Amino acid sequence: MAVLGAAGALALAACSSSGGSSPGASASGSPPGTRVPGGTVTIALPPSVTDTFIWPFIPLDQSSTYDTIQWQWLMYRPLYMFGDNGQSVAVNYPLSPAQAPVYSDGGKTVTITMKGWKWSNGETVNASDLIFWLNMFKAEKANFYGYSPGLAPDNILSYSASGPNTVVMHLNQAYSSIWFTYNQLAEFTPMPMAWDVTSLSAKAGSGGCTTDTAADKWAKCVAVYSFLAAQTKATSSYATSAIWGVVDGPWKTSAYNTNGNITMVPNPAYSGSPKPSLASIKFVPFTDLSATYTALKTGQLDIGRVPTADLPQKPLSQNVPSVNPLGSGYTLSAQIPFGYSYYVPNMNNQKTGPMFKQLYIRQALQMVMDQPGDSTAIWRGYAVPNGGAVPGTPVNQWTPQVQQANQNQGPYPFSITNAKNLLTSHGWTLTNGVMTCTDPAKCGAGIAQGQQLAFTIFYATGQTEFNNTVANYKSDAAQAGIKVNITAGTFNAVVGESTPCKPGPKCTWDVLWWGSWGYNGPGFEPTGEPLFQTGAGSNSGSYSDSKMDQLINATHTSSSMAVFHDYATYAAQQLPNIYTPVSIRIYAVNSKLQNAVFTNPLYTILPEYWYWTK
Amino acid sequence: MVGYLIRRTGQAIIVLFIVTVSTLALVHLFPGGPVHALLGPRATPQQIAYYNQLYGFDKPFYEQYIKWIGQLLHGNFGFSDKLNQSVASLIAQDLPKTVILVGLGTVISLTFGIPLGVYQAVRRYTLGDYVLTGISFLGYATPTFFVGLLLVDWFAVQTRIFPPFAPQASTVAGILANPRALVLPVFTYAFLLYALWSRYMRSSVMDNLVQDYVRTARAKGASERRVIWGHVFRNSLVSIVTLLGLLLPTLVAGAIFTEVVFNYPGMGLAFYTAALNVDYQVLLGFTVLATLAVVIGNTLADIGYAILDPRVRYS
Repeated sequence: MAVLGAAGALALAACSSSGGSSPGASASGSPPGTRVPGGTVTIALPPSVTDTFIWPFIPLDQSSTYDTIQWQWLMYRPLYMFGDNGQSVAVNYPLSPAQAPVYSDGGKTVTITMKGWKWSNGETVNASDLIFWLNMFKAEKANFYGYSPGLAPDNILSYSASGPNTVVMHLNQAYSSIWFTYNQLAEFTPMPMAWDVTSLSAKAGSGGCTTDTAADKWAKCVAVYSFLAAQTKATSSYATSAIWGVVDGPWKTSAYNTNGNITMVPNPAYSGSPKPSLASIKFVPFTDLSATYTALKTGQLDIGRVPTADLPQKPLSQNVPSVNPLGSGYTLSAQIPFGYSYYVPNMNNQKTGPMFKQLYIRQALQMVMDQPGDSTAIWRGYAVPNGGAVPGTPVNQWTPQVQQANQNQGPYPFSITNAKNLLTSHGWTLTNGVMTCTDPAKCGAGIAQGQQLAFTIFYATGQTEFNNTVANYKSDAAQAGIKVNITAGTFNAVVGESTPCKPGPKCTWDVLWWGSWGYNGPGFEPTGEPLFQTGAGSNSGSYSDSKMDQLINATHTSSSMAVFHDYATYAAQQLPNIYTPVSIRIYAVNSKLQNAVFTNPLYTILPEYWYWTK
Repeated sequence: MVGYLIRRTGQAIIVLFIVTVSTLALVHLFPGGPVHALLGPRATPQQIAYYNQLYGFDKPFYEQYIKWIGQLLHGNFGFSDKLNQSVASLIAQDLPKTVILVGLGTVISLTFGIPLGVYQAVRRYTLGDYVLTGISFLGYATPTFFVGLLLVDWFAVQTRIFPPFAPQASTVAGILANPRALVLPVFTYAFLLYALWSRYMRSSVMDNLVQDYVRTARAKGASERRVIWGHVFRNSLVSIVTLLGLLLPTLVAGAIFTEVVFNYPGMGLAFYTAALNVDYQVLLGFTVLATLAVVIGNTLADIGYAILDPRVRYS
């Protein structure tokens, strides 16, 4: 059983790990020349993003995908790395400081063996470093962004080092090896003894967190946490700190300013492979994509995102446009983030909720979503249809077959006629251009005779293509007799409404539409527990279905991909959200920079693979 | 004058009270509350409650206000979780850089705007006046960001004479160490100000040229040079001094559009980014500081008025 569990996760890694190339390099890049060691790569940070928190034990109010994956991971390798220098979204054991976990006792025990890598100060990355993390997690779980009540560390009954490099964890029940590896162990990061201190001059390990227990209410870990949290605020010393300078990843920070400019240089003590070839990488902040594009045009950047508006129309069959607006100096490649896009109907709205609770109505709402048309005409080829809650492009092991049907639109492809027929067959009649319930027995519970199929979408403005998608949806829905009013707000205004609400006078929104959900931390298996499980915190629409709950729970306990696909299929069929096209990002990479992939769907970057050519 | 200053101080305190109360109230108007806006769509109700308690948003408004004002009076402008930095240190870091941009832009614009404004008034309705008036109107009518984008396109993208964005150093020395990268942002900022100074100076000099004291000076045989630069110029500067006082808030708030276009790491860019990221601590701190600057700038302008114009007396 233990072997089977580990093999399951290994098989997943092997299944999607690929070396590699980005999904679509354009023809405009120069052919590889002679390899040149050293050199600097200058990378544009996304608009208004700055990396500001160096400690991997990051709190929710400071968490950011870019901070964690594109900065911290370069210095402090998580227990298990995800993604690769290509398009893989799987766990990457060769790049991780630990061997693949071994599950035993029917999935109730997990054994982790560290590889014995070295920290830059000579310490070994060993079992104590993982115990240090686990103790810190126990002591300060509310201050870690990935914490969910009932999940890690609550579901770990006990853990101990059974050898210098081995940690054994006993869990509160049998878990799926896939789920536990991808969504629980993925959150852990070994921490060096140099961090287990309460002052800068203290001896490594003297803080006592590594040996602390619940008996003293984790007092030593709390003290170490306070010290390290204070050190994270000393941002001006990030590049010189004796604490943060201890790294086990291939890179370390050599210059940092709070404007967002960061320079990283190779860690000569890095134990993994490959070793960095570049002399340094630089991150530069930008306020918007047009400024990034200007910097690309003037050769100030080696890697940066190209605004969609500056790109020519792209055929859906290609990943990048045929014509590269930046010329031969840059190679274009496409990134499709590992997530899905959607809007949320509010099941608890007392007026419209009863309508949204009817599956046939959600199906009709999905059928009037013109994903292929929007992707081609509005997004000009820089979006792809996605008919479920699991990322479908690029193809990965998680995507169920039903979601790939109808050119990735899933089981309910765009058809205004089918939407109309579905509604009329359920007791709705087109009256003055709006579907009106004329047979309440067929319409469903809570829908009164004479009720119109009408609701308001509160959507986030900010991107022209997104605004046009919403407007087009309103127009297509109207053709099926569905009356959609649209109200615009800022992204924050829309998100501000997204806390699940109980039926009542304050639960008044009908539909929220702000964009997408990414499965790149915390957790890398695209499961549904935060989104669709009854009562889940991010289940904004208060969707509740006992079969969905069962299927989600099954993904936590079974390591079978078939079980995962059962959940994913059900999510595609049941439409707890209405699925919308997923946008594609185009990045430009200096043509002389080889092997540089900046388009991993998880946002993983591995500059140790990159090198300059003449 | 002392009585006047005391009255102005009292007014300033009232203004500050109203601004601080309304600013803090605005933070509470974020949909879903400031914490939800900060934490984003993944935040669970439990996490929102935890951070509301952590930041004190679960306390009554007056308690939050008193605590905040108490911090401000101790020089504590709050802590930005988005930047992982105290707002005071952010101000200390960015304000000098904005002073460099605004200061250089102001000096350059004054250097050209004032003498050319005088020239236009003296040579009014000539070809030179029309050309300079056209340039000034262009400066007035063209949005700063558009001027910046045009300059970037011409001088960075097309000709590559200057870099497209400002120096990214965290210190003033670092900024000044790269003067080429300063040219476009400083010129962009100066262009709008040049239009302002030259138009005001032109109209002010024209007003003064028809005053009795000018006729008297000429009747007494004063040379035209002495009339213009000895008499008219000093009196015409009164309006410029007023404008300079009103410019003080810009030193604090930053030249937002110029800084955003050129990625100039000053106060304006920090404020813009804070607004995008719902970094309410930075927004609060900067708003208070900008209000202070407005109050002080207006007072300084009034005092400058009195010094330059002996007819003005405050009682």
